[in-house]
Amino acid sequence: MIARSGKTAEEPGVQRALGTVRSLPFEGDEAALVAAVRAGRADAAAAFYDRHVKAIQGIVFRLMGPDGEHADVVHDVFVRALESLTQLRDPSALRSWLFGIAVRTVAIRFQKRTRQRWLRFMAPEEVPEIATELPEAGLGEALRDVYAILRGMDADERIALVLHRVEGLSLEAAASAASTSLATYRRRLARAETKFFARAASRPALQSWIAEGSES
Amino acid sequence: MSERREGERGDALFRAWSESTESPPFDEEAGRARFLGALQARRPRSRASRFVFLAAAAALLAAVLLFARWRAGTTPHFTAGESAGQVGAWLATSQTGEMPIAFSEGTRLVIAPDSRGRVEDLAPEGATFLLERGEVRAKVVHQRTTSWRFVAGPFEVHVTGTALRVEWDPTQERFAVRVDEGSVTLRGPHVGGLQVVRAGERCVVDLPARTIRLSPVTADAGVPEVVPSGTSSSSENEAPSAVPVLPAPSALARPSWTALEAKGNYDAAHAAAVSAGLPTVLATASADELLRLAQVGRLSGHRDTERDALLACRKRFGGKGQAAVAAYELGRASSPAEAASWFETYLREQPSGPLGREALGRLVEARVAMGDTPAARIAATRYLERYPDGPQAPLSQRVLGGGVE
Repeated sequence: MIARSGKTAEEPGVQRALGTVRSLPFEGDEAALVAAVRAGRADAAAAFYDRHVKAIQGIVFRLMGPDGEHADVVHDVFVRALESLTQLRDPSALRSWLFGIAVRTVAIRFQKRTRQRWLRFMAPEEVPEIATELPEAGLGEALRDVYAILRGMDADERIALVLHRVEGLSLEAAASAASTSLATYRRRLARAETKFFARAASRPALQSWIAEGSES
Repeated sequence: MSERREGERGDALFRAWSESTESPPFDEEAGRARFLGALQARRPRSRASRFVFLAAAAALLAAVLLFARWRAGTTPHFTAGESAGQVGAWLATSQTGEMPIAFSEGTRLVIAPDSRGRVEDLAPEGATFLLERGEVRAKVVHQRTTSWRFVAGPFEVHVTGTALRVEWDPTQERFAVRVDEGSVTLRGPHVGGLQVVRAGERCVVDLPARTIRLSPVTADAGVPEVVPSGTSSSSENEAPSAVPVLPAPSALARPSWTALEAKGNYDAAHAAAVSAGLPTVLATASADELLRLAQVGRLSGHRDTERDALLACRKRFGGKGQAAVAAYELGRASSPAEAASWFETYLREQPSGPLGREALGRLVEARVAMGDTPAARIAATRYLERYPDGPQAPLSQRVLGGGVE
C-alpha cells in the first residue's frame, strides 16, 4: 500500500534521494478495516477515523450539545475504540458498536462534570468553565432551548431521549448502546419525554415545533 | 437502524434536530492528527526505551523495598496481655479477668471481664477494634492524624484521641459508649445520622426498644462496669438527674423507610434508608423488606440501591422464594447478557413460580437483544410450549420463523 517514487540508491554514482513516500487510501470493507487496524496498520487506523468521524462527531454533538469539550470527547471515543477493538465480535456492526462507545464516553464525561461541580463548591479556580458555541440562525433558537432543557435532565434520560427520538435507533439498539435492559430503557425514555415536553411547554421557541409534531 | 416513531409528539422537532447541519466547528484534520499521534504513542517501545523503562522500574522497586524496610521499623504493633498481639486474633477474657492491650504509639485498651473482641485492622494512624460482646475501655493517644474505630454490632465509634469505654451486649442488642475525655462520633441504627458524644456523657442505644439516651455521668465514676445482660442501666454511674429516655429520632421524629415506602413516598423512603445506614439495612432487613427496598431504589432512581438490595436478598436468603424473585428483578435491571442469566436462574429455582411466564418471555427478549439466535430459538420454543397464548408468543413465533435476527 506504500507507493515509492524516484531513483533507487542501488545505482552507482546516484545520491540517496528516494523521493516522496505517500500512503494510498485504505480499501476494503469494515471487516478488512478492523482486521488491518488490529494488525497495527497506521493507514487502516487513519481510514477507521475518516470513515466514522462524521457520525461520531454528530452523535457526540447531539448528546452533549454545544460544548467546549466536544473535540476531546470525539478523540476519547476513537482511542477507547482502538483499545477495545479486540472485543468487537462482529465487524459489520462496527458503526453501532462505536455508537455504544460514544454513549459511554459521553456518560463518563457527564459523571466527571457532576464530580467537578462538587469540587467547584470548594475550589472554583480549579474548574475551568466550558465554552459554548451556539448556532445563530434557522433551528438555532429552538436548539438553544432544546439543549438548555437537556442540561437540566439526568444524563441517563438525556441519552435515552437522543438515541431513540433523534438518532432514530430502535429501542433494542438504543438499549444496547446505553448498556441497559430494554425495559429499563423504555422507562428512562418515558421519563425523559415527560420531563422534556413539560419543560418545553414554557419555551416559546419550541411550542410551534411541538405543536407541529403532534398534528402530523 | 431507524425506528423513530413517526407522528409522535415532538417528532417534527426531533427530525429537524437530527437533520440539522448546525454544529460547532470541528477540525477533522486536527482530530485525525491527534488520534494518529495517540496511536503512535501506544506503539511498542524500542529496545533502548525498553531498557530505560526496565532500569527505571528496577530503581523504583529498590526504592519501594527500602521504604518498606524503613517502615518495618516503625510499623505499629501491640501486646495483648503479656504476648505479642496479632491482628485478627480473637481476644477473650474470663468472668473475672481483664486483658490490657498496649499499642506501640501509646494507646492503651483494657478488655473487661467476660468480653470478646479483636484488633481488626492496624495502621500508623490508628486501629479498628471489633467488640463482639462485653466492654472495652480505651485511652487513645491523640496525634495529628489519629483515627481509631471501635465497632460493636451495627455501631461504629470514631475516635481521634480520647478516653472512652464501649459496651455491647449482643443478646440484648444494647450498645453504650461513655466518654471521659475528648469526644467521639457515633454511627448506627436509631442514632439519626451522626451522634457526637462529648466528655462526661454516656450514650446508650437500645435496639429492641428503639431508644437512644444521652446522659451525663458523675465525675467520681469509678472503674467502669460491664453491662450485664438484662441488667438495667440505672445501676450504673449516671447522674440521678439523667436526661429522660428520648425516643430515637429515626423511630418517632422521622418515619422509617418502610413506613414511607408503604405510603408510596419512594424518594423519602430512600433517604430514610440511607439515614439509617444502608449497610445495616441490607444486613438486617427481612427478605420481603429487601425486595421492598429494591423497589424503593428503582422508583427513586437509585439503581445501585436496587441492585444492592436484590443481591443481599440472594446472598442472605438463598433457596427461598424471595431470592428467586430477586433473581427475576435483577434480570429486569440488567443488560441483556446478564439479564438472560438471571431469568434462567429464576426459572431453575422456581420452575412453576408465579413469574415463570414473565421470566421466560423476558429470556426470549434478552436472547434476541443479544443477537444470540440459537439461544433465542431455544427460549422461544420453551415459551410457546408452555404459554402458546402468552404476550411474548408473537415474538417467539417470529424468532422461530426467522423473522427476528
